[in-house]
Amino acid sequence: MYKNVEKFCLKLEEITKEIVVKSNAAHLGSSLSLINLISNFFVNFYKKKNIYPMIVSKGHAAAIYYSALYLCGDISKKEINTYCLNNTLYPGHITKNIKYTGLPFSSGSLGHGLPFITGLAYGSKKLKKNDKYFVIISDGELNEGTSWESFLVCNRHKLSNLKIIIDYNKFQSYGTTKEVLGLNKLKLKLSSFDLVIDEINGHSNTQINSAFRKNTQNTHVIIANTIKGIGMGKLENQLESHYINN
Amino acid sequence: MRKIFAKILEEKLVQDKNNFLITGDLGFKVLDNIKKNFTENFLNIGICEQSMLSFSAGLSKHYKNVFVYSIANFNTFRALEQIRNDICYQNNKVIIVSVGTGFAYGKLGYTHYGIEDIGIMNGLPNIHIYNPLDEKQLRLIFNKILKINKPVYLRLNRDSGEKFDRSHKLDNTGFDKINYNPKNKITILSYGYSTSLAYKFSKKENLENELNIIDCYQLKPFNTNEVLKLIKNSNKIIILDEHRSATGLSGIFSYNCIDKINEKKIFSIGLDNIDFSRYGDHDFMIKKYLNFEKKIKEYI
Repeated sequence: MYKNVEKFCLKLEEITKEIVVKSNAAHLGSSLSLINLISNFFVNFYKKKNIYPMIVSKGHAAAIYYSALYLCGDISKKEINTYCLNNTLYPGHITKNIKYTGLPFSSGSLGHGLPFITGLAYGSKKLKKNDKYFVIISDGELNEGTSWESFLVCNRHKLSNLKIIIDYNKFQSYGTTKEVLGLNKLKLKLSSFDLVIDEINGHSNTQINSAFRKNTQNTHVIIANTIKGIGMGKLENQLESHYINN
Repeated sequence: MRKIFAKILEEKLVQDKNNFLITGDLGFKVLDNIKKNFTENFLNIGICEQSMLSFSAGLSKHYKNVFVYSIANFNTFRALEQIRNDICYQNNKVIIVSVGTGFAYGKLGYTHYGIEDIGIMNGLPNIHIYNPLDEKQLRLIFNKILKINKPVYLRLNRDSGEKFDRSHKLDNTGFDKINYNPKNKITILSYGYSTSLAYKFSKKENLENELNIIDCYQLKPFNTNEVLKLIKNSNKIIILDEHRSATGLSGIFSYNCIDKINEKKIFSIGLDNIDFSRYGDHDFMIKKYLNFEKKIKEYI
């Protein structure tokens, strides 16, 4: 198991790029914007007591998520190498597999992971369990009504056991988040829901670690400013990184 | 039937706190007792059906049986993808309870008619579909659904108020022999409210010695072998749907039995090729758009 987040990040980037290029899959940019967030979770929280596996609601970031499971020893090299190839168990959207702790939920259609984990967090609080829940949603996913429905439900029931991380890379699949649906002033929009809102640099391991460990009295929404396609050279911060992998 | 459902669920909640009921802001005068007396097992989540269904899938990790209650169209059509992806494909046990099936809300217009929901739910994997006729059936179905480890779609229709003088004891086969004599040559297959309509019609026209009435309370999985036994001696089968025929019982029956019923004549009566031009209460809508009494008489 890795104990150093920086080392995990480097290896995670390498494996993610490798399996995406090998299978000529898309969504590499969407995966890489999560590099630091995923690394922090897997090094510091994964399989720890009372921590539910992270739900990555933006299921198209499957490559980086499966790669993280590989680096933790859950998935073998042989298996990860089948990513997005024929006869694989690891298709291009995160798919539930009851064999693995880290694959409790299938995502791929946006707007499902957040209400699902809201239900989990609600039930846990109701039954006075001590579990903590993490979900990553994309900024484009905030186009979906279920996101805002979930914010209402979270605040109504003060789900302080839930952290919602928004991967704010400013791009969705056919334009910037600003040009498609005017998603800007995000912190201002969210603050009216009375949740605990923090905005961080989504590539600063220190800021991420601090945010992930923060105790709050209500649902914690972490707006993580990230770069789509970080580490992809000229494709960094470009819409094309959603589709092209090199 | 919804009040009977609430009554039975209350009994179950007393016995086992591992049950939970979510409503999408509905249940006035129906769920009041549960809301008041079982606060730890009840949630009005608000008018957000898509979130409600995904949420229920998450909650099902903490409770053995999670019931989700709404009007047929809202907790099926509106949240279809959530049911498909988060409940059916991932086999999370949620019991989706629909009221307002058929024309129960006739006066409110087609946005509130449950006349296509069987079709879409039948197309999903893993899910069982039940449509009880009366309290006796609902109790039997309740015991079934509490034991199985699958998602369930439970359709509740308007209570007909009828006391069924069953010719046979209710069993677990998925069919209820409301009126059955192997010598009868004509069988009506129906479910829920449409069974009560067929039953009343049969008594009114004194057709009990000619007409079998078989209620199909378990629509999925459909017990093909049993229904074939029940219709063995009939040469005319009438399938009565308060639903689009093609995607209701008629569609289900045809798909499951098509290769085994060559010599029988099948007559489907349902809500196909209709244009809603007028609206009214339940009885008005049945008479205007289903018009089954005239059609059965002409057929037999």
